[in-house]
Amino acid sequence: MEDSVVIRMRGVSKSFGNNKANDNVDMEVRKGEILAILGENGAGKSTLMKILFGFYTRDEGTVEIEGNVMPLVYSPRVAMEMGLAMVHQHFKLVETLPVAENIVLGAEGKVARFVYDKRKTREKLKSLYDYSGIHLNSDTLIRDLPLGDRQKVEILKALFRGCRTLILDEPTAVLTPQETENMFSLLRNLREQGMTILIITHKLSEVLQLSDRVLVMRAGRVAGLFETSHTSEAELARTMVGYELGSSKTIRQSCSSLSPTLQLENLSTEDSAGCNLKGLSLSLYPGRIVGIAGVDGNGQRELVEVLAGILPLSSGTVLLNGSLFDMGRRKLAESGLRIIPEDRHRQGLVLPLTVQDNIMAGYRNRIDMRKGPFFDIEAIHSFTDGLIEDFDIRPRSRELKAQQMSGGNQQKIVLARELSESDLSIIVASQPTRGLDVGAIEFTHSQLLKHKNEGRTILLISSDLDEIEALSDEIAVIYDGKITVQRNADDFDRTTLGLYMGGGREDVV
Amino acid sequence: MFEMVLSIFQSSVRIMLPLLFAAMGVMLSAKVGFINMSMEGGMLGSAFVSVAVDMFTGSAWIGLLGGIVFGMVYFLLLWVFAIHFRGNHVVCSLGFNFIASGATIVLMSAVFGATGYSPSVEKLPLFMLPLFGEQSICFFLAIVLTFLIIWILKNTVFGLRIIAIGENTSAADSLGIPIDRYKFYVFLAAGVLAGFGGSELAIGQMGFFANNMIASAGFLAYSAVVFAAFSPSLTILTSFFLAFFDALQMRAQTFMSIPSEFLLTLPYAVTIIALVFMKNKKKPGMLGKIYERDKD
Repeated sequence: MEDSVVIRMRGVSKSFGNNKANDNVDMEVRKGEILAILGENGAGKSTLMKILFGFYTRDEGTVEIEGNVMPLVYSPRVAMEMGLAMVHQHFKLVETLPVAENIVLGAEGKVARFVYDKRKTREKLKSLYDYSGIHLNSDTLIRDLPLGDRQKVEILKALFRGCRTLILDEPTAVLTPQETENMFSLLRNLREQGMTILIITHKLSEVLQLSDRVLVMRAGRVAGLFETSHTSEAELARTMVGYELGSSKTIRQSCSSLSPTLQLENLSTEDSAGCNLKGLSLSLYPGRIVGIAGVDGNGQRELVEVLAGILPLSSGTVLLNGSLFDMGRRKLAESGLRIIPEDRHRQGLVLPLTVQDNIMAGYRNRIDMRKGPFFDIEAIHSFTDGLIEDFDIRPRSRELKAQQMSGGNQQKIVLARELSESDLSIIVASQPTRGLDVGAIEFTHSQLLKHKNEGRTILLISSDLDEIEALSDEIAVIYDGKITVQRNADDFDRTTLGLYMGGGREDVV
Repeated sequence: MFEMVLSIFQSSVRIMLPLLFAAMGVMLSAKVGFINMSMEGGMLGSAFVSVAVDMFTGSAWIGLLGGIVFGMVYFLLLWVFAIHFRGNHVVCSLGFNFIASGATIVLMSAVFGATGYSPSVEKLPLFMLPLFGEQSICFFLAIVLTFLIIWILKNTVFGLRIIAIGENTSAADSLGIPIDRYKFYVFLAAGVLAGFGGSELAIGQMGFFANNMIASAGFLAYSAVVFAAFSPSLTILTSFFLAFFDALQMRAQTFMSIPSEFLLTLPYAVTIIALVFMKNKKKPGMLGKIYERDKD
């Protein structure tokens, strides 16, 4: 029996600059099914949904919603009128207004013309609560609701508008396990009533629990389409993360006989707006590279910020060479820890300043750069020129502005500054090759390997599994603010890594 | 004694009227997230135009209409800069104030052939009321408009949408509510209120135009709104409260041997103390923030 197709996308492509976010994507959604769209960060799944919902304009391809061929440009409003609704990852709710007003906002026409009667609205909402099986108090202010209930308000908003196809973007990202369970039974219930549901996720277990079919995306393309009942977590993981192998490789060495340089124990944070650390433990060893694999947004950035001394710890201890290090009072940078930040445009460089100024940042107080109270211009010039030569920064000019350089050479400026001081002992490299061309990737990798061989401690954080596998002696997987596993890199294969990254636990693997 | 209390009360009400119009404009603007520091300039311009129109037509009613029309035009221009072109709210507001202040001084001699003060013109109809004393027609209009605004905010779709926009613009936008258009309506309303406020002062109470005659009532109005924690109904009380201290200092100058400069600071000192305690509580979430779409 052929199910009726409600949404059909064919050959959809979308580029942002040089980056092909979607490349010739085909997708069909059947009426009354739950279709999971699975992929790593940057695989293009959110872009695809935003194209469908009219947020982005596609470059190529066709979109049909319920048999209607959509024009190239249409607004979310039009998509809503066609029965689509999208629940964003960040809720779009007015926190100071009650549940009822949030539900009807923008579609008040269904309960009021000009004069808005609160009591009448609440009467009308009762049938919506009964129909959906979501029972909330109409008068509770959104800011007093737990996140799980806020998401229910978003779903009620969609239902109130008479939506027939519901798109959920990472709906469980902010939910507790209990709330997630709750949400799933609610979604199954809606499916029974004929609702079509699209759910964007990178969590494998959710896909298997909830969906009827899975569309796996990788690097902007469709990597596979599976009936959930005929696939396994392992197969999905392999499809989701498997690419070809990189070229520069480390000679793997064991860490077991070494005593760690830096030991992080049960680190927790509370002040991050993203994913706070929740008891993260990690050990780093001299002359070894520990790679952290994980889907973006699981605490990688917070870990780097903690090490940089930007994000305060709420609990946990840091041991440096075996003795307690007070993160509240001192900075690890004083002990030779250097960071290659993930965003070189915002954290690594001051783009409007020259190459020389960027290299000198942080070295201005060095005594050999000074002549009394003044800079020793000669010394600064020869210092900068030396680094430009050593790190092969092109063009060889200290007077060019950082923003005039290519991405690869910008990264070399960062490397030159961070990796050239004599007290360097620990390197934290966060996404060091993101967005670089092949040559610059090679250069960055060779720098890291060189420092490894010179006995420095290296932490490599990357969402590129090829990079992690090629360089790491040990691999640790970060998930939801915790390191779920840290082991010899040889003990992992792609499938296991994928499983851990998707939140799989020891016993499942 | 009772005589004096009554007369202080009556002058408080007179001082309060322009302040209340301005405060309602500030409050409405704040509800859509706009920091309205420009009631000062709007009222000054309206006062000028109302006197000029009054003089040339000989009718205070047409003068009032002129003041209102000017207020609307003034705020429409401000809307173009602050909302349409996404300008900084405070910079745009203050810039417009400076223009209004400079332009009225320059045009003073061109229009009235005088410096400092315009000739006297016909005033709006005055009413002798029990308790409230002599008040212009704007007294009644202020009551009607204030309660109309409060009712609209509480009981209409329009009001609900305005509040939603000021609290979370992106939420309102994602639901297809035309954000800038709603702000446009609110700016129009603020213009009408500035028109009433300026005209009341110029042709309702004084009967002439003087340079800088608004004397910071537009800023005091902003304080009244913050002091009221952005609540429309409390704004009435705080406006009266600030007006009362202004009236008090005027009276105190005549029978106390305190330097007048000191007494002049009274309403402002009270404002500062009040604001320290209020700490901008309950302000709309998007107040002063410039909304750009697509920053998901």
